[in-house]
Amino acid sequence: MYTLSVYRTGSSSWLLPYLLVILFFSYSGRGSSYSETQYAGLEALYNATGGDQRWTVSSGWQDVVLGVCGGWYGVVCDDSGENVTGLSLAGNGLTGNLTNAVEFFQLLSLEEIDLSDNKLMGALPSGFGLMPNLKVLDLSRNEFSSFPSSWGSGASSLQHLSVRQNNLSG
Amino acid sequence: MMTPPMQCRTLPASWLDDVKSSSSSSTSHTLVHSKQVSSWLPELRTLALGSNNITMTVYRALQSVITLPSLQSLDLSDNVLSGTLEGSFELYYCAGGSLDDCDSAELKTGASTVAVLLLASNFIEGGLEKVDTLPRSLSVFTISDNLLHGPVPEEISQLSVFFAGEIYMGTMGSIIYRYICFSSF
Repeated sequence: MYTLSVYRTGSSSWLLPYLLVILFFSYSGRGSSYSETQYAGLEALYNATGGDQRWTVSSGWQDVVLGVCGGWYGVVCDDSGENVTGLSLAGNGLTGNLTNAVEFFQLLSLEEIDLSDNKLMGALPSGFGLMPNLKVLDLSRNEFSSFPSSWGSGASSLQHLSVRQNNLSG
Repeated sequence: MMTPPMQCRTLPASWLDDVKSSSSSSTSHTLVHSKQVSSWLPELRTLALGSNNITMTVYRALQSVITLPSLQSLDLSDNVLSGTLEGSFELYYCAGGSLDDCDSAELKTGASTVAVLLLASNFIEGGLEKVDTLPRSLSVFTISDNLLHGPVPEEISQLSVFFAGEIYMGTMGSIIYRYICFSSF
């Protein structure tokens, strides 16, 4: 149990968000570093794809107190409630280029990703190949324009890949 | 004249989804493939690339993915694939090293694990005479809406589903056959 002591030295209102963040990470079980990684990765996805302005539904997103496994829309976690294992964001207005979301590809616990029916564009990121547990990747009905010539380090366990209805050429 | 095999009958409406969900156990073919490919998507079973703008010969498209060691279902329908199927399934493997400096290459015909191959709605031309090069694992093969001509060999009836749409008999001018054929379904 984590005990808070707030010392009244003048105005302490600046302290509260800082303490909330510490509380969040101390309750994260497995260890704060992967929790931070997951938060950073999802935030990178959110920012790179127009979370504020373009997403249809984004309830829960960026809520530190709730936590990534506390009910963020479209985020699926494992039984322990600590690891993000799936993303279900089909038809949600995601717009932009995933290659900018570098931290997103550090979400190494992801197993199933559905980003279909959005407006994602640019090169299909080879970073998906860095996710060692990723089995299902659905990127159909987007605007990806090129296919990578290799996928990460080859640690891929990808079984099902769909890039139907995009702009792939050559 | 070409007559469809006796066991042909018509398709139910949602046949493709039914077949795709049920097709699949992998075969017992042993593959020797080059290092370039073996580390790339080793577990991939389904690759869906339909309805894009992929512009290349069908030979190049198939050769670049059909060596994926676990691949069972490949959808390249509705793209801009051209050329003929000749040699597309003939896979050469290097015993070791990269493809660039291969001392000896062994021809492994029909060594692919692909069971479902969707090539409809492209610009593939030529014929289907060289059926012996189709992978032994293939059971669903669609190639309708292309530029094919010539006779359809009897051997094609080894496939569970073969959807060729309109096939023109080259020597008889433009006799149009449209048939959908199951041999074991």
